[in-house]
Amino acid sequence: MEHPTEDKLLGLELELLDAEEKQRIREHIRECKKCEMRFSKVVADTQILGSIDPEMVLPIYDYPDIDKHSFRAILRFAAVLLIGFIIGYGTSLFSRPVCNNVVPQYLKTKPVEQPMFQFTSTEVVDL
Amino acid sequence: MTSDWENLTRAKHGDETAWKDLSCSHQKRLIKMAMLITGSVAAAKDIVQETFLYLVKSTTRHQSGSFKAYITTIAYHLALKEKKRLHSVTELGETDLSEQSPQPLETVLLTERDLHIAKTINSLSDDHRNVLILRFYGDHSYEDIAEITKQPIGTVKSRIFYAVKKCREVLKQKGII
Repeated sequence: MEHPTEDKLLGLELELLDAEEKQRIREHIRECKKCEMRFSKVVADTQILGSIDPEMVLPIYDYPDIDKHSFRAILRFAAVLLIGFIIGYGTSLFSRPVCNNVVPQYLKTKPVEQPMFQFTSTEVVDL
Repeated sequence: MTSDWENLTRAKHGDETAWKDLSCSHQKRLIKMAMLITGSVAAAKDIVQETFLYLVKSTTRHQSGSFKAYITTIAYHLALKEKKRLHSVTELGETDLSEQSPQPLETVLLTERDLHIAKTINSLSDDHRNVLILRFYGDHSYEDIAEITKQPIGTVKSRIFYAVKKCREVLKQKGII
């Protein structure tokens, strides 16, 4: 078998080859010292990429106060409702609706020219 | 041993021990990943905190599949969003905020070798870099990465191959490997 290319060795390390090809290259590496060395180098190079190890103090994340958050959400909702009511009420004060009721003519009473109560009972009888 | 999904359910019901178990077992990996994506340690820490908060507050009943992939997906998208925000602010102000942030990457990478590796990874295109970070720092399978990035598995595999190949070339030129 020919020596596998660098790309094939990288593909083997990254588990990108199909089962048959993988088997063939692995067998070759077992028999060929030179390719074994080449493959070891590919493995080491690849592992370096994932070896960054930052020096830092890991933060401690406090347990979130879920009840407090939901209580705040309720308060916020209530505040929005209250503000909405106040705005609505204030607007209604300044823009009172015009009454468009039509009063029928027959309901419009005329003032009595000579009301009956200006006469005494005897005068009424005389009249 | 309690699974991460069980810990999440318990944490949602107020169990602080479950919360600590969950955050301790995932935070370092997630911070490293977010740090490499955004280039800022402070932003990475905030992103991971936001990820855990989202987990506990979300009402989703999704409890199947890989928890690691689930939590990484949340952190990954938050990191991309933050990177985009930093980038847009940078364009407006013409200064690199990730370098001016309270804790840039350089302050925690103490060896020159780590710094060179980080810069090399950072020199890749977004698509290649993100796949490489998810593979090497998220410790994910190709299937998980395909799910997280919403890309076909073939694309993920070709990107990781190209990304590693390119990084090897650059690091060889720099004499790191």
